[in-house]
Amino acid sequence: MFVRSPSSSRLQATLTLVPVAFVVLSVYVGGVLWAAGISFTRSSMLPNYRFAGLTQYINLFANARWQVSLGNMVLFASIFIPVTLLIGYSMAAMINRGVRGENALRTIYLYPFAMSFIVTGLVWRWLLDPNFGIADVARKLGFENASFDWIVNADMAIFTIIIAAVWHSAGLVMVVLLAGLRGVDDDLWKAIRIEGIPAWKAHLYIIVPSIGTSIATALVLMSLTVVRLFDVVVAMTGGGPGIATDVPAKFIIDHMFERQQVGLASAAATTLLLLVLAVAVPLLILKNHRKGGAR
Amino acid sequence: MNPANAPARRNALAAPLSRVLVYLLLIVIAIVALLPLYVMIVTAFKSMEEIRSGTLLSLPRAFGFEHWWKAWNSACTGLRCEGLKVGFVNSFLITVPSVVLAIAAGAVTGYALSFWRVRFANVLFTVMLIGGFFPYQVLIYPLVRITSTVGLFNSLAGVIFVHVVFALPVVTLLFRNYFASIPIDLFKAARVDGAGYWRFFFSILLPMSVPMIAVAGILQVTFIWNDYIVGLVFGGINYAPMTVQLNNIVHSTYGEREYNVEMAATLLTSIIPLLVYFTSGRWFVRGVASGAVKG
Amino acid sequence: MTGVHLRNLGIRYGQVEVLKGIDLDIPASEFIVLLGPSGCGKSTLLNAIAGLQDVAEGQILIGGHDMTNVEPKNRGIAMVFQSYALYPRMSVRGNLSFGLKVAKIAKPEIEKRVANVAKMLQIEPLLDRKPAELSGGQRQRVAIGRAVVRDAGVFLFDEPLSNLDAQLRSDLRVEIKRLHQRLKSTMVYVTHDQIEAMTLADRIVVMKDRIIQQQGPPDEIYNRPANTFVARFVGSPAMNFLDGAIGGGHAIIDRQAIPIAAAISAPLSDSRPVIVGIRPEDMTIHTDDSGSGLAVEIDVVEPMGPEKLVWCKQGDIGLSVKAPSSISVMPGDRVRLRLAEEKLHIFDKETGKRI
Repeated sequence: MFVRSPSSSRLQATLTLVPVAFVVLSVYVGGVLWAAGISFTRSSMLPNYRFAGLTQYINLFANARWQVSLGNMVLFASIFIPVTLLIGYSMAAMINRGVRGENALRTIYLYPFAMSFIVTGLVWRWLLDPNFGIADVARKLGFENASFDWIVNADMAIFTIIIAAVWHSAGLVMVVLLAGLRGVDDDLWKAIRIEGIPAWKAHLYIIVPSIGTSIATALVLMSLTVVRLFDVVVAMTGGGPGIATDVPAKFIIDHMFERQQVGLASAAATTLLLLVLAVAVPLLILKNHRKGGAR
Repeated sequence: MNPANAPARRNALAAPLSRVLVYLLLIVIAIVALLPLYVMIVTAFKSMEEIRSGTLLSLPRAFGFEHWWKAWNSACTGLRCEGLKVGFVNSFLITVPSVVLAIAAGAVTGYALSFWRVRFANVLFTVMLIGGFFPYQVLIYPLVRITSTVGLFNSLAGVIFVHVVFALPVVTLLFRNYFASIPIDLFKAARVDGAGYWRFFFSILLPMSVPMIAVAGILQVTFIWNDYIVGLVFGGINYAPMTVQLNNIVHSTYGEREYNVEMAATLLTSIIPLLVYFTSGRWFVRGVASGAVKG
Repeated sequence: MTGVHLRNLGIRYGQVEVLKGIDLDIPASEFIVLLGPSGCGKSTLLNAIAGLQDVAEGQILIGGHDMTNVEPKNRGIAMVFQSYALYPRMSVRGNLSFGLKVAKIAKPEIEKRVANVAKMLQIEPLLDRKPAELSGGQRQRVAIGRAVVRDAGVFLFDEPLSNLDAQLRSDLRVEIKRLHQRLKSTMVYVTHDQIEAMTLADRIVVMKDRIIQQQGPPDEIYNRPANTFVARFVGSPAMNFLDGAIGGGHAIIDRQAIPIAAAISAPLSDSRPVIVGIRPEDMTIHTDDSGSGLAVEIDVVEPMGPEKLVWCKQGDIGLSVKAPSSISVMPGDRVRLRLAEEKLHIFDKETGKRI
């Protein structure tokens, strides 16, 4: 409920919002609609407005590189999200038991999130280097035939990117879930203990459902990482070997600026956006519905 | 956290064994989390000869600083060979104004949206909320057109503008949620005392919001410093931030790769966010935990 | 002195009518309490008087001036809130003087007024502390001080004691009453706590479902409730109700005739179905088997110190009786209740209104 406000203050509030509204609407609505419009034209190097129907979309989905990109994103999401969630939750659950040095551990776990994806990619590229990386450590430890060449192996390279991304995000998910666990009523833990419920059952059936909001937040954060996946690929594999680790975001940027196929890139961008909206909008509605209007 | 609550969370019988296991796991995870940072540091001090002969994990036999100097001063970032120092200055020039502007705009927008009944405010907020989910790649081309239309493309102001536009949804959400948690009675009391629109904001709200400003500031410094794609597209050659130059150093060298210079450059690029993180980790955690990065 | 008058006040949220046709006259210097359960519209009414709530129709007069569309700061009112609503980053002194600074009052004058109020409310040692460093009771004292310092003709209290524990609540209640005796300002006080209402009010306005149910001095509200809602809401434990009918100047309850005082029974016509109300303290328990009174079974006995609260069952109906602590009854005992005939409240069975 809003408090009665005099028209002068309401006018001031409106005036404050006008510039922000102008920028937000022109970029987030106008810009996106314009880009969607471009995807229906024959634009190549520069946008032009000759209508081309669905040609760009037909070309897009016939494009092998786009197919690989999209497939990689799906593969990435279907491994990265559950693995990070599981690791993050386990870490949060262990820390929540009350351990010594909690602050130090938390600081160590979260620091990767403060590093850029470019740095993350470069470090892991070095760590997974087939000649001098971890494989070399194994060899020097006596496993003379040890080899670990995923990063240059077209079939396995995408998994090295998943490893780097999990390292980057696990601490973040841990912190978000820990905040949720800390919100669980202490009496609930006491009740669980008195009833003698085994730990895994208590977590699965009682605790996880009661921290739904935190899990949703973690899922949203990880989904954003998935759709924005770009820097780490550029730094780690450059999309290679060949196009083996290409992702939609990289496909879009490359076609927009290097290959100068603006129409095709816009079609890809629009497709990606529709995918995101299909996931995000129901989530948002669900969340706001649960909260009930703020005021 | 109240330590007195901790014992309630433990299962008394299973305590000894499971506690050892928990600590063991937590320590292993901490080692894995720290490994890349450790390898980065030791590699940056080793000579190329040692890198080739020694192992990844060993401490450097001699500490060499010349690779650091090269990374900073003379490594080639494309055509120019002036090292990362140019990028450092650029990142600084980009980050500081972007963060200040994003927070100022986000705080004022959050305020106007929380306490004042403005027509279409909900529409604006919903657009921002959904816009926060957009993959950057969708907005980049429209933003290129917008910035080049007003002559900001490839300029410092252009990069800052794009950062503020991207940061606005998150920062606004952060402040709006914070303001929404303030009891409405406080607003009523100020109204009875006669405080108007700006007076309430500056005399009462802003002093209360210091923690929120710190949280938003730290998160945004980290995000914007670590950004790659905005700097890559909008900075041009003159305003390429550190991340872009770092990636260029690593990926544009011909001939033998200098891993030590690469790692020194990577570390140099991470220094600011790591410094921010390790000196103000508490706020960082708080920001993440409060769902600050929900955007 | 400043009276408050509401004329045919109507308030809407969008299309929803929240309050309609409210008329209320609050003479200058009166302490009036708006009492009712949550959602009854009492806080909305208070916010309307404060100017924090848009008014759809009608008029608000304060001190004889039409204030319907005047800004809160210009209405000559001060307000105290349930959550204290102290400005968190300002010291107590800053909290007290903020409104005066906004009103551009001269500094020496502000200092004088703050000093006076601080002395009156005994918060002088707290002046340089931040709200976070104060206890709940101290905070509310400061919040009251912030209202007093405005030198307003009308004080508005929005459930000011609800966040405090029992002991502090009664202490501050006395403090507020003393404040009224001293300042002689008009006070409008919103609460859902009937004890606060009874102890503080010159006049109580009982509200339910956005309608004023009854207004009058506390003893009138208590002794002559206008309907079953008011009867049940005021008094603890609540008034007991029994279904019955009128017959020959008696109330027939469960085939037993209960005598009614002539003054009460006079307007009643025979065989009219009614609800008979009786307060717990207006019944006595009799263990002898003389036959007169309502036959009940003892359910639960709660010793309260000076008295015992005895819960009885009469069929499916539970009745509470206040009995002297010397009484010795056990659960399961069958006893008889005698109802004080002049203390019976007779309500219409259909409308619940007092007859």
